[in-house]
Amino acid sequence: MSLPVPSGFLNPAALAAALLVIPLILLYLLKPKPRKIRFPTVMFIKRIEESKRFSALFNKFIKDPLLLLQILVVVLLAAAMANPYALVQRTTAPDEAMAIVIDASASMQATDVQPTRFLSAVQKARELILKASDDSTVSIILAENIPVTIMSNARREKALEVLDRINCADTPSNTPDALILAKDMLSESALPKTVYLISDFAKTEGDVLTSAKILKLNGISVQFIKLNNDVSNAGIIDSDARRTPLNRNLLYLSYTLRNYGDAEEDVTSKVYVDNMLASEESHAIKPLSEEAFQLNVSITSERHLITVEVLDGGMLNVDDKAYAVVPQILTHRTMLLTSGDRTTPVDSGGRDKFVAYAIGAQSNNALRIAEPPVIPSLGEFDTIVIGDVQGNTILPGTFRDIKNFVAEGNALIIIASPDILNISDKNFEDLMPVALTDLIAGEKNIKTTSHEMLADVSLENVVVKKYYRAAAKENATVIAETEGNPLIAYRTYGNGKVIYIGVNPAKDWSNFQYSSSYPIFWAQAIEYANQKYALVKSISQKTGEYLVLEKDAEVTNPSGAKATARSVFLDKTGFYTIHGSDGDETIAVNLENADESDIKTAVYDENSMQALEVTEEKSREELFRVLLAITAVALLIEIVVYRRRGLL
Amino acid sequence: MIDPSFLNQLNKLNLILKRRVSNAYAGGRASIQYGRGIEPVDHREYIRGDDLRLVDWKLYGRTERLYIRRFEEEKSMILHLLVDASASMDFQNSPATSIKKFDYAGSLATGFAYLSVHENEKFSAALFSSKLGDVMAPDKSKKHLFTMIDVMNKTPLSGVTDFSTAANQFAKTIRSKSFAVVISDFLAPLDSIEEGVYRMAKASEELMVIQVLDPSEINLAWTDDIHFEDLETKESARTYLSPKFKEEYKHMVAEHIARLQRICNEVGISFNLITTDMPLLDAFVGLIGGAKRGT
Repeated sequence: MSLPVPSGFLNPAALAAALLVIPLILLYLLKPKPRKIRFPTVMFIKRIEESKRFSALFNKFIKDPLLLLQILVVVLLAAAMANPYALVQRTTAPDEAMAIVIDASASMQATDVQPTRFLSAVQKARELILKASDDSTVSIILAENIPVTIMSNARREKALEVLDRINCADTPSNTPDALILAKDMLSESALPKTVYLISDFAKTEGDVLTSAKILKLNGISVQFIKLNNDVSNAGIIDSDARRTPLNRNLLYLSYTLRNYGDAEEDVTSKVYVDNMLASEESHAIKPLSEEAFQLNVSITSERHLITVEVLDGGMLNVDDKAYAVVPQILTHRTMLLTSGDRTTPVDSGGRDKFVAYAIGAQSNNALRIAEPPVIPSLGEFDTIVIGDVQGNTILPGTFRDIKNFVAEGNALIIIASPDILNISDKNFEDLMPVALTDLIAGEKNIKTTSHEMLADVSLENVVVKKYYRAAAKENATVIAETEGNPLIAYRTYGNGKVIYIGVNPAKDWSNFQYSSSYPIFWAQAIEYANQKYALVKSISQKTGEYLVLEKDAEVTNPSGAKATARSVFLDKTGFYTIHGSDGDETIAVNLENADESDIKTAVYDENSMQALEVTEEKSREELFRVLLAITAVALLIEIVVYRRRGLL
Repeated sequence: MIDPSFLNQLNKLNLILKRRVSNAYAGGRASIQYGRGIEPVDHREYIRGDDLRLVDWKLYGRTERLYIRRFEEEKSMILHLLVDASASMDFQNSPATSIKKFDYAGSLATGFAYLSVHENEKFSAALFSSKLGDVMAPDKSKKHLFTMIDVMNKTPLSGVTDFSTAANQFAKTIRSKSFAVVISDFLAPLDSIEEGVYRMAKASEELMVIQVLDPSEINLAWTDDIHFEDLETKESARTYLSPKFKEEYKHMVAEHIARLQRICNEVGISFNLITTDMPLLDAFVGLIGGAKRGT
């Protein structure tokens, strides 16, 4: 064991005792006169002395080990009285309630710290636990974007076992919340509390220093252990993949690459469609900048899994891939109920000719136009569009049939028309997402919210001249409105959807029908209305989010693990497959987090640590016993020397 | 101070020495030659040329024949004592030893002188340091003995041992038929000692060298830091007497003694090492025994 290096003295004044060395040396030099003996002859004595003459004073010192030993003893005793101590990392710590927060976010997968930041963090945690005393308690929290409690106030042996089983997630980081969770977990313990945060301190949600201060205020010691070698990275921070509105068999793919480094990065990106390489391009990305790339790839009408992979994307791999699901194109059979006259024959759409044009333009949509009261069997269709019809022409029972039609999982789209208020049918009212009051005139713009029905639709230049005062029903979602009156709203009914479109395609109602977005809107509206996702609501999510299913289902995550639940935490990038009774559904999960890809930036540095006044815990090891032991050894040697000289 | 009790011990010792044994104690021995002496041995018939004063006229009156008295020729071997009185002899590591080196040496010399007087032999004595001093001419009276003791007791011990010079001077006073005894610590350069030994050996018929040392001179009885001052030269030497140092010192002194013994052996004289912790009488008996064995 090496002797610890003294860090200071508890009683430094005692060091003055070392000055006793001076009189000791003086005593040695001026020691009492030796016994004087008058002797017959010094002839022999001088001869011996001359044969070993070391006249130099220095040699005299060296020659006499007793003096050196005595000086050593005096110095050691003085040092022992001064009670030196060494600050050493605690090897046998006192009992404490320890919470170890391990950053398990995506950036911890960076390989700048070998083997990875996360595995190094686990090793650090293991070392901390091993140093803890037997009666200490250990809590372990993984700081993903939602803190995950792995173990709460457990014995250290159990904590060590658990460490072998934890994994790093692909999620963003949220160390501040994890610290607060650690505080709550330790609150019941009567032991001294310490929270260790092992992280790369890449950007995180919230402010880690603020959380640390909160812990300090609660009497909890906080130690930060940083694992970050300030390396650069390049990664995908955004991506989009979908069919082009006008050519549904053409994939529009866009992705954004960001270079966090100070040097230009040459990267190669590959696009795979259903694991088949569809495109390969090389890009040079300027330092500290991001570039967006788009490309089109021909695809079929089937569902496709798209993967974008960036090669040479730095030391973090999780952001070098993006995933997307392009759904299958469904063929729709739509019936448009309208009314016509001589100038607007029903065959060409009647009063809803613009609607008929828009729907008819879709290659995957078989449109049939009918005028009540005579309508074809509903079973031939999956979508019914009720246009400008005369309310009194609809036979009783029709809406009852339509209601059943929707409940079975089909779609109903209702367009606001001059006579809609005259449809006084209870079933119709039940289906309507909104309750209409009266017709309002006045040119108004439309306010929209983000929705896939409006994804490629521009309503900026659309003006409504007439619209119904309306109120959304409780279970309805409004995605466009003017003056608080819903213009586009939808609801589910049974297994189907009902969409209300308050913008009538008539000259005196609006100019929407003249917009190039109009057919796109109708395509997307019918597509959305017919979506048959029984379980998922979105086919694209980000890590750190929850996949909330309509009901319990078995889910296979990207690494092949299966779990049955209604809510699944998405902690891995890739494709999740949800196994439903009506078939499998697949969603794509991406990191796409600009902060998480920035593995270089550390939000905490030495200065901020000082501001926090967080000091590393070190134990003070008093060394006087060691010095006394050395002194005893020196005295023993002195005794041996005395004995050899025959003085004892 | 010469120990008076030693003289009493010597008186007892005399009984042992009654026999005419030793040529070391030359007096009292029958001569194999006839000559002019005090005690008549026998008579012989007068022949011409004989000294008429030697005619025994009383015998002539009884026998009417001329006889002359024959006397034993005087064959007295003079004892020459040379004792070191240099400053180095003024040493006694009291209380370990109870007698100074010089007193011990003087006592030994007194012992020899006593025996000599007792046998009616003459002895001479001299002290030396850097030169010869207090020379006493040969005599065989008891008064001479006590004078010698008195001189020894009063002589200040000083000066540096110069055995060569002293031996040179003392040798001139020695006539033939002499037995010389040199008592010293011989703590001097061996060259000087060797020269003196040769001179004394040449001058005397027989020579005995006695080295008297205090035990602490051989073993360095002290420890720790010692400041030694040379009794003769006044030089000083400060040293730390570690066991190792003492071992080296002992080895060096032993080497000195061994070389001195080799010198004596080379010229066929007896060498004796006496330490002052030995009882005087034992040492003296040993010496005269050695002399006996040497005959």
